[in-house]
Amino acid sequence: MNPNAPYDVVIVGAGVAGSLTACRLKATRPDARILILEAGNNPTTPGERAAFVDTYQISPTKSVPSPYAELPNNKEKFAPSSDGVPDFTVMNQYYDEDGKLDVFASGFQRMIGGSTWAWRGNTPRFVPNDFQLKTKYGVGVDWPFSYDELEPYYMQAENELGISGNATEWVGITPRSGDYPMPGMAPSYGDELARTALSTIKPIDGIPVKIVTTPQARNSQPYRGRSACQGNSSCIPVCPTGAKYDASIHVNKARDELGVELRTASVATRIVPPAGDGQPYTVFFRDWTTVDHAEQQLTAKHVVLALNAIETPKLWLLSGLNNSSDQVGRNLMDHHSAEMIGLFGQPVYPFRGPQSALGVDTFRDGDFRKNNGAFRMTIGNDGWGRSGSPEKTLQSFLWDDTNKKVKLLGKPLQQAVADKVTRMLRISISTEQLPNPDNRVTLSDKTDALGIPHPKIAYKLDDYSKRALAYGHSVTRRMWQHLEDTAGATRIDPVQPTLKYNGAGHLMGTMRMGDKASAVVDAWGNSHDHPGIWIVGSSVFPTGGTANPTLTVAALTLRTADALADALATTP
Amino acid sequence: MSDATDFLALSELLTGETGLDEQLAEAYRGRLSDAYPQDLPALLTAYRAAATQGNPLGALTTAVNADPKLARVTRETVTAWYTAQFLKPDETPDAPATPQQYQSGLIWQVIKAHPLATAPVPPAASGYGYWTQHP
Ligand SMILES: Cc1cc2nc3c(=O)[nH]c(=O)nc-3n(C[C@H](O)[C@H](O)[C@H](O)COP(=O)(O)OP(=O)(O)OC[C@H]3O[C@@H](n4cnc5c(N)ncnc54)[C@H](O)[C@@H]3O)c2cc1C
Ligand code: SF4
Repeated sequence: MNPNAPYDVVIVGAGVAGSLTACRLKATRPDARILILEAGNNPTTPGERAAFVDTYQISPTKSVPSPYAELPNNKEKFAPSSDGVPDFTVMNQYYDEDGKLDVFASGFQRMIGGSTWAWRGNTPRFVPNDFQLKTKYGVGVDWPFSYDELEPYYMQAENELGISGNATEWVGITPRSGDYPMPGMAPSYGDELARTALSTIKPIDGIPVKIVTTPQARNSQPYRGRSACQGNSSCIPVCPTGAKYDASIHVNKARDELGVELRTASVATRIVPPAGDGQPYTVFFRDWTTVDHAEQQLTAKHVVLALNAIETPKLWLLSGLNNSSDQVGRNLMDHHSAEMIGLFGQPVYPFRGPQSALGVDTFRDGDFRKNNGAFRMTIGNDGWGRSGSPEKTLQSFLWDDTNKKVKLLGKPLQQAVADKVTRMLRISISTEQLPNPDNRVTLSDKTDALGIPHPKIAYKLDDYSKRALAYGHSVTRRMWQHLEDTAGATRIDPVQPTLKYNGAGHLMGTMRMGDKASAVVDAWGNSHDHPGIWIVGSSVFPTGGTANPTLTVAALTLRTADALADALATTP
Repeated sequence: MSDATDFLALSELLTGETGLDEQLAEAYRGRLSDAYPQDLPALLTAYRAAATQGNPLGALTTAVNADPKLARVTRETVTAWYTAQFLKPDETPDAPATPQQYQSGLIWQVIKAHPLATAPVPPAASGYGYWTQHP
C-alpha cells in the first residue's frame, strides 16, 4: 500500500471512546487502514502501572492527577491535563476560568487510555426517561433516539468493558435484555451494616429508598485475562492490578492484536476539510518528541474526534470548522456531587475494598424532574471521602492549633483515631444539570508549551441544578435521620443544604447530537457540516441525566463505529 | 545513649507502639532533623529528662507544651510515624521518601485498613472479597 495514501480513518484520542472505535471498526472492516493519533505517550505495561502506584504513594497530596503528574506531557505542558481541583486559588492551571461565575470543577487526564486511568469505574446505564426529558417533563431536550434503541449497544458495551452487576436488582430502573458479564461486586462489611440499617426506612416523598449494587467496570472474577479485584481501595486515581477497566486495554488490543496504527506524543492542532470532491481531510499535529515540534500532517477519508468534551470543541474551534448550528462548545454539563457525612453507631471499617459498591438509584427519575434535577446516591466505603481524611482526623486529636500544643499521644491517640475513623460513613449525591448554551468552551489567550490555546470556560449553575442539590440534600438528610434513630449515627454534616459541590469528572454536552438546526452531529455522531467527521464521547450527549457517563459513551461509540463501518463500505 | 536509640525510644513513647523499625526510625530522624535542625535535638534532650520520671509520657507532654517549637516538632514526629509525611516549618509537606515509608504508616493498622493502593497479602485476609469480613 502507498504509505502516502490517505488513511481510511484517523481517530484522534486514545481514551475509551477512541480505542473502542478503533477495535470495533477494525473488527468489522479488517482491511481498513486506521490510525489513532494520541497526545500522550505513556507505556501501558504492568511496569508502568506499578510506577504510577509508586508515584501516587509518595506524592504529598494524593490528588487525582498525582500518579500521572510526572508524565512529560503534563510536566512539560506539551499536552497538559486538567487537574479538576475546584478552587480558583490552587487551580485550575489548565482551564481559563475567570472566577466571576461558578466553577467548572471537573478534570481529565491526557494520556494513552485517557481519564479511565483515574476514573472510579461506576457504570450504571441512563434511565429510559433520560432520553426524552423534554417530552416527559418539559425541560431540556430529547435525544434523537430512545433507550430501547441503545439497549443492545449497552449490552455490548458491558461486555467490552467488563461490568460486574446484579441484573435482578435493576428491574424497574433500567430494562435489560440480558445479564451482566460478571456478578455484582461484593459490598464491604460496612456497606452491609449500612444496607441493613436502611432496609427499614419508609419511602421518601413516595419514592422507595432501594439500595442496589452499583454496576462497576471492576472484575468480580477473572475476566479476559485480568484478575479479580484485590481490594486495593485506590480505584480513583489508580488501580494497581488492572482489575478496574481502563482504556489501555482497548488501545493494546487495537495495536497489538488488530493491527491499528498508534501514533503517540502527537497533539492534533487542526483539521482541514477536503479541498474538493473525493479529496481527503488533512489532520495537522505536533509531535512533542521532535526537536522543533514542527507541525506535521497526514490525510484521511474519515476523521473521528475522541478527545473528550473540552478538547473536542477546542480542536474544532481551533480548526475554524463550520459551526452552522452555533452549538460547538456550548451546553457544557457535569454532574455536581456533594457529600453528607456522619459517624455510624458502630465501626464500618472503611478503606477496605472498592471505594463504593452500593447506591440508591430510585431518585434518578420521577415527576419532580419538572421542577428540579434528579440525582444518584452512592454509599461510600472510603470514610468521609473528600470531606475528611484519616490524616485530618489524626491532626484533630493530636494538635491544638489555637494554642499550638499537642493534645493526645500514645495509645489514647490511637484509640481516638481508631474510634472515629472506623465509624466514618458518607452518602453522596450526584445531580443532574440541564444543557445551557451559555455554559461553553471557547479558546483562551493562554497557551501550552506547543503554543496551543487553553480552553476558556464560562459556566453557571442554573436554578434547576441548584434545586437538585437542595433536594438531594433533603433526601440524604432524611436517610441520615433514619440512621440516627435506628443505628446510633451521630455528627451528621452538613445539616443544612450548602449548594457547595464538587465536579464528578463527567464532562458532557459540547458537541451535541440532534437535528441540523440545533445540534452539531446527527444521531450517529456524524457531523452535520462535515460528513467525513465523526464524534464519539460524552460531548455528543444532548442532556446529562444522572448516570456516570462512560458506559453510555461506550454504547454510543459502538453505534457510531457501526455507522462509520457502513460508510467505509461506500467510500471510494 | 546515642541519638538513634533515643529517637527510637522517643518514637515508641509518642506513638504508643513497641518494636518500631530501626531503619525507618533512622530515615524519619534524618528527614525531621533536616527540617527542624534545632528543634529535634531539643526534643531529644527533653525526652531524656522525661524518661527518668515516673510518668515519662506525662512529663514529656508537659515539657513540650511549655515551648511551641518543641510542641510542633513533637507533632511532626508523631505525624511522620502515622503517615510517613509531615509539615515543614513553612507548612509545606515533606512527602514520604519511598513507597515503603508510605506503606509503613501506623494510621492504617490503627484503623484496621491497609495503605491505599497496597492491598493486604497473605497471611492476612486478602484477595477478592476480603473486605466483606470483619477486619
Ligand atoms: C476522577 C474521575 C472519576 C470518574 N469516575 C467515573 C465513573 O465512576 N464512572 C464513569 O462513567 N465515568 C467516570 N469518570 C469519567 C470518565 O473518566 C470519562 O467519561 C471517560 O474517561 C471519557 O473517555 P473519553 O475517551 O471520551 O475521553 P478521555 O478519557 O478524556 O480521552 C481523550 C483522549 O484524547 C487524547 N487527546 C486529548 N487532546 C488531544 C489532542 N489534541 N490530540 C491528540 N490526542 C488528544 C487524550 O490524551 C486522551 O487519550 C471519571 C472521571 C474522573 C476524572
Ligand atoms: S479496589 Fe483496588 S484492585 Fe479493586 S478495582 Fe479498585 S483499585 Fe483495583
